Amino acid sequence: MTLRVERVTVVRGGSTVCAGIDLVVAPGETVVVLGPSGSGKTSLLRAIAGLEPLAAGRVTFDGIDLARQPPHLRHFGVVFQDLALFPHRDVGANVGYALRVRGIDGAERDDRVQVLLQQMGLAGFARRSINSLSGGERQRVALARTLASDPRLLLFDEPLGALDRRLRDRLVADLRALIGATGLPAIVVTHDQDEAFALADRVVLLRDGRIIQEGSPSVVWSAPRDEWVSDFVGNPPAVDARASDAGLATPWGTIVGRWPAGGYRVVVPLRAVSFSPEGSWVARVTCVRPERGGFVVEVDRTDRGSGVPLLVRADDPPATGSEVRVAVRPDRVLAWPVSSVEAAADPGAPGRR
Amino acid sequence: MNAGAEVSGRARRLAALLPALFALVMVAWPLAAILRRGFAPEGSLALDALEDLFRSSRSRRVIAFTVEQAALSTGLTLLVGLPAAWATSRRWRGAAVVRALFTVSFVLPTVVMGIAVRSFLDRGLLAIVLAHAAFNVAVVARIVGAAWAQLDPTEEDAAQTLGASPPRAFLDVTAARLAPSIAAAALITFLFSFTSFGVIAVLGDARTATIEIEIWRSARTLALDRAAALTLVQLVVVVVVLWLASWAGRPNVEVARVPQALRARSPLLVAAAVAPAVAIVGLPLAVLFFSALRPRGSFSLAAARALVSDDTALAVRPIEALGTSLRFCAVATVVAGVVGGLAAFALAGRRTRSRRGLDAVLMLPLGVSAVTLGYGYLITFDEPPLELRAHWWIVPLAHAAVAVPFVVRAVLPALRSIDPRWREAAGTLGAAPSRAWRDVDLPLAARSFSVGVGFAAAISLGEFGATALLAREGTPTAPFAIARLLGQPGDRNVLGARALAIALGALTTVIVLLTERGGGWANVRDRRA
Repeated sequence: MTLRVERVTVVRGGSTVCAGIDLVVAPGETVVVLGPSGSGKTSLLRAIAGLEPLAAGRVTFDGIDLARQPPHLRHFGVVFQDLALFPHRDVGANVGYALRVRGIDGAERDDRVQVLLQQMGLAGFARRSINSLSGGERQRVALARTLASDPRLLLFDEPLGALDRRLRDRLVADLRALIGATGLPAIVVTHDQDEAFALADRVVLLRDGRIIQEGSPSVVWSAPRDEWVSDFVGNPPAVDARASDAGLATPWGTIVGRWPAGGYRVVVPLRAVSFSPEGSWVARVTCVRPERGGFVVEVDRTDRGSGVPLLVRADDPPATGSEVRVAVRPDRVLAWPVSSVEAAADPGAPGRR
Repeated sequence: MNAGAEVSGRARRLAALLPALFALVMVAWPLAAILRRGFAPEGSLALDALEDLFRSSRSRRVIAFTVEQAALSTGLTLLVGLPAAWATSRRWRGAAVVRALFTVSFVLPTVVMGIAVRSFLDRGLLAIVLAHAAFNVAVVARIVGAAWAQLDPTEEDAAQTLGASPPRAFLDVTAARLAPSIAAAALITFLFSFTSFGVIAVLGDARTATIEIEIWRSARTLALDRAAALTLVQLVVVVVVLWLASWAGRPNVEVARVPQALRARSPLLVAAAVAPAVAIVGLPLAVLFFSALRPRGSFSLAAARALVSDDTALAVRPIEALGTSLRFCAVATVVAGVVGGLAAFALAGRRTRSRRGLDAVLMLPLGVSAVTLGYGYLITFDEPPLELRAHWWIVPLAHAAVAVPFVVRAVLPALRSIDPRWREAAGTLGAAPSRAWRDVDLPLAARSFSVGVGFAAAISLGEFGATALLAREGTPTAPFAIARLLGQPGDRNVLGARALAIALGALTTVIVLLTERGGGWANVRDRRA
């Protein structure tokens, strides 16, 4: 029950969209492939499903090379982006399609469809037309249709992509529980870091067809490999800094600590700063905005603005214009020597949809 | 491109064989024969026929008149059709009825519309232009209406908030956005009027000869080089117009998912907008009915009796012509359905050069007019190995050649609009490629196929151009019989023609409406499967 992707390269329309990707998915493991649009994640998923030819490398399952196995013999359940529900069949016929292809007819098929619909909270939906469903219902029909085929691996392409924010937050937990309940290995492809961290046992970051970083959600989140990854997982923008014996000189003040002397790109994540009377930086509040159950406060130095706001999370935010003290935890600050930043190429904002 | 889920290229190549054979024998060969007969009778190129054509003042007059009547027809059609296009793009009670009326008017046999107009107007330019407009308001309403329905009204709002007055906003946004569809509709109308035969045969007189009529006359009198030269002139104009049409931009007529149409705000405005179009389509038909029911100032069943009368100018009873038409229609529809369906399947794959070529040849009958095609058959199939001319099959085969483009154009967009991921989804659920095609593409294209086949049937029932050259006195088709009866004096003949026209029109209407419905039924059945 182990999927192995070995040095897989996919070429589309003359350009390489996946370049030598290695990936292992263990039984029962959920791997999330995270990347901006155009990073090659959908092509990777399609290549695993057999829908995209490999230019190089191989895909094996249980040690068997799948090169000669067409998609319909792989028994990989795919939930497509935008779901690809059959518009000319009703809910029941969509869910029962895999059974019908296998020649399971009549009462047996109906029974199994009923059970699946029941599990998905769609009892009584069998005769409904696809067009009459809400986004969340369509989502569940697509899941039921895939599960009905008794897959040995689950592949999701932006499973919650078509839904609005609030519904996604609700469904992401359902999806995690559902994948867990099947006990099947799963690959989820998404551009949304929140979705990725909520679903993944392991996160694989993809950029321009290559794996940039791989690891558990907490590792990728707390120790992004470079400025691009940091930005992509949702940290505040990086600033220029300079290290000396005194510490790291940032536009807001000096962070005390030991860094080899030289130029740096520095990110101060929200979890590295707090308001505290003992804080060594004095700043003025420029903006307060509510965010996810708390507030994010933008502050800047009091004398002359640095032009780059420092973001601080707070439950009881100070008033705009007031003077505050800010404490920084050096161990949580992210700093990359400038030379390595240059190597990472194009530190500009990653393309987000 | 997709490793497993694509229908194999071999299946498509195999499917292309029959359409390719049909295109070669029934379209390309006859047309090539015309060109050879006209310009290289002795094997080397000789352009005498073309020279003679342009030297004769009569020919120049014919060409000028053809352009004139087509331009006038296009003008009237736009005048009446554009308001109707706006109305059909909105939602209001009765919109479906008006749309159905337009559909019927468009598929009605040309001679039926011709005789309808003639029941209250004398032969001549006015009658011709009126009949052409009656056909083509449907084209304008459909093409422009579909584009109009897709326009986002907030764009005009945006223009107004930026300072444009309402008329200015309409001109800058709506009119500008509609311009390509209006141009396309106008060019198609021009083309239909330019190559029109049935209408002019019934409504024209000595002064209203068009190129198409002249081709027919030349072919009948065996002035073959003159016919070939006229064909060439017509072909050049058609190609130029088609080129203009593609340059004007292709409006998307086949809208896969029509957005919810806007509700019309003022019923009075809607009524005013559709009234001229409804009148121009409906009045002639109403008058035709009335004049058949009240032949001599009082209601009678004389028209029905005329249908079965032995005493007309025809060699057979009028009703028998209807039977012949039905028989030909059955053959033509099956041939056009099989050839057109296979061709659409073959063309839906990757666009290769040979597939584009097949498409182009199959579409030729749309451009070269049915009379030309019939003339080509006349000179091609008169000697072994294909001595079809003496056989009744030649008429339905000609009908099929004229109808195939419509079947292809109906089915192809449907096949191409099918999301390949539906097929891929079927594949990941365990369906082999052929099975996936059968479960996804086939049912999704069935409706369009049904519409295309219904259209093919309507074309065969109404076809007059090729039939006028190929049909024989002993087995006239209904349109042939109508034209023949109209050309003879006597009340009984006129009444028979009117009765036959009503029967033919009703038959066509029923078939087209049924097949559009039938497609709907196929859809419902599959959904429950």
